[in-house]
Amino acid sequence: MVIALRTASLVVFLLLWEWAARVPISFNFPTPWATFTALIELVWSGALLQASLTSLQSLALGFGAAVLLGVPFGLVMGVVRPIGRVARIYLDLLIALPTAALIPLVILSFGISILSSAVIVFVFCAPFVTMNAYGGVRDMRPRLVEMARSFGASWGQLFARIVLPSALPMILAGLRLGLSRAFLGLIVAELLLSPFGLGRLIMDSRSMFEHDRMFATVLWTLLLSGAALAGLARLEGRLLRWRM
Amino acid sequence: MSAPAPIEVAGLRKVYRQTTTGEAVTAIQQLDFRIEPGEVVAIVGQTGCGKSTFFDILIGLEAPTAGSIEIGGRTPYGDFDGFRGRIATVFQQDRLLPWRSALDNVRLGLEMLGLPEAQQVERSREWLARLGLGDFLQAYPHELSGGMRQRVAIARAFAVQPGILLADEAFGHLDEVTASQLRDEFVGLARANGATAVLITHQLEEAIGIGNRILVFGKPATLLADVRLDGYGADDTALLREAIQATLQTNRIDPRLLQ
Ligand SMILES: Nc1ncnc2c1ncn2[C@@H]1O[C@H](COP(=O)(O)OP(=O)(O)OP(=O)(O)O)[C@@H](O)[C@H]1O
Ligand SMILES: [Mg+2]
Repeated sequence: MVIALRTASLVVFLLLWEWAARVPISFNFPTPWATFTALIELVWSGALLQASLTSLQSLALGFGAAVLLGVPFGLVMGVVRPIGRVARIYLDLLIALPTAALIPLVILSFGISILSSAVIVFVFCAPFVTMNAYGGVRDMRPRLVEMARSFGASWGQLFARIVLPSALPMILAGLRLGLSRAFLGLIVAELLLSPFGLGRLIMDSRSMFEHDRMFATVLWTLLLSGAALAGLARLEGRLLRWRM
Repeated sequence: MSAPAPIEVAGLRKVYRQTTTGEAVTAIQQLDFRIEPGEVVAIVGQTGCGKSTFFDILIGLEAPTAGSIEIGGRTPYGDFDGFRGRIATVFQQDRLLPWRSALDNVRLGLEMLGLPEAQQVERSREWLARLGLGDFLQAYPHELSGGMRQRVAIARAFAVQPGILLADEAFGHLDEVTASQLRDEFVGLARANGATAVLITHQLEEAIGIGNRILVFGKPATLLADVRLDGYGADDTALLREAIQATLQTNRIDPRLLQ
């Protein structure tokens, strides 16, 4: 049933696309077939993989740093309340503000390099990763802490056995949110900087009026982020089996 | 089982300062009594009279404002590490860790004691089996009924083989049949293991049914009456209930309780 629905929705989507390509909305709008062959070509020539590798490098750098710094810092914010109360103001600001406005500043400080797109990725996702870890600790049931203390738990045991597992669902949700924000940051950065990666491929094909190639690259980017998010969701499902 | 020791409560007083208003709340006015090793004691008192606060100090989670609780000459709040494994509590809600199986929940207290893993598993299995949950070792709390969850919590408390067992309204939220069954098991196991048991309860029937002794707390906690049940016969139950009820209502000991 689900599979049938999914197939049907895909078919409808492709038909709509085909229709959009035939109607003269824009005369450069490529058909699904043209996009698909362009995609195969791009994969075959290695250009796409090369670009993906470069882009994923910035993504891994930025997102990895966000996880490695954001999760522990969020946990500290939750455990040491005064730190949490001060830090959350800045994080709330970072979440509310249009972060993309910071990009020129980042380029100014880091130049146009993989590092600067990694920094932009970091700025896009770190606040979310951090706030979720913080929220996870804050949502913890104090009764469980009291219970563990009543069995003589030390502070270390309390953290490892109660605080961390209680916060885990929120932390993992934060990683998923953070990863989708990281892809957003990556694409925004690369479209603006565009000396490398998938962003460059998109901009290059656009300037050469190779709209099928451009579309193929966009499609590929979407598939890439979809796959990464699905992988993370799987990991989440496995770690949170007890909630099923 | 850790060595039996009396619980000595002397001049105990606890005043909380409310975090929001800064107002002082007297949770325990003044308590003086002694519980001998192996006794089974029920504590009754109005809601908010400081019963749970008394337990918090007994467990070592809170320090008294004045006075002391000593167990074998040492204070739980002053010597937290020294009391690990000597007192265990069954709470009102089961307070199981939802991400752990029944077996791993029972293991929790044994992990704190630093027992070897094989021994933790062995002992947890044993206690779950004894409480009739031998077939549910790997079940998660949400897969168990309320009564079964409370059995896991009881197993968790007994597994550390403490000298003192506490139950804070542990059976009140269950249906009557399950509640009395579990309460009898709890008390029976405590007796069989030579442990001291202290149960907080709202049900006077329960208090009269279980123990050697009922401590009637006023509000804020003072010891209004210390009822030794061996002084009463089976046909005194109704009288006892009425007298304790009257004591709780008037906040003054009912003359029928004075022998
Ligand atoms: N951590 C705390 N901070 C401030 N006030 C507290 C705290 N813990 C308890 N109190 C107050 O102390 C008083 C006694 O509370 P306690 O929980 O000991 O009552 P209780 O006898 O267990 O009540 P119940 O039968 O409803 O469980 C209450 O007025 C409560 O508001
Ligand atoms: Mg209470």
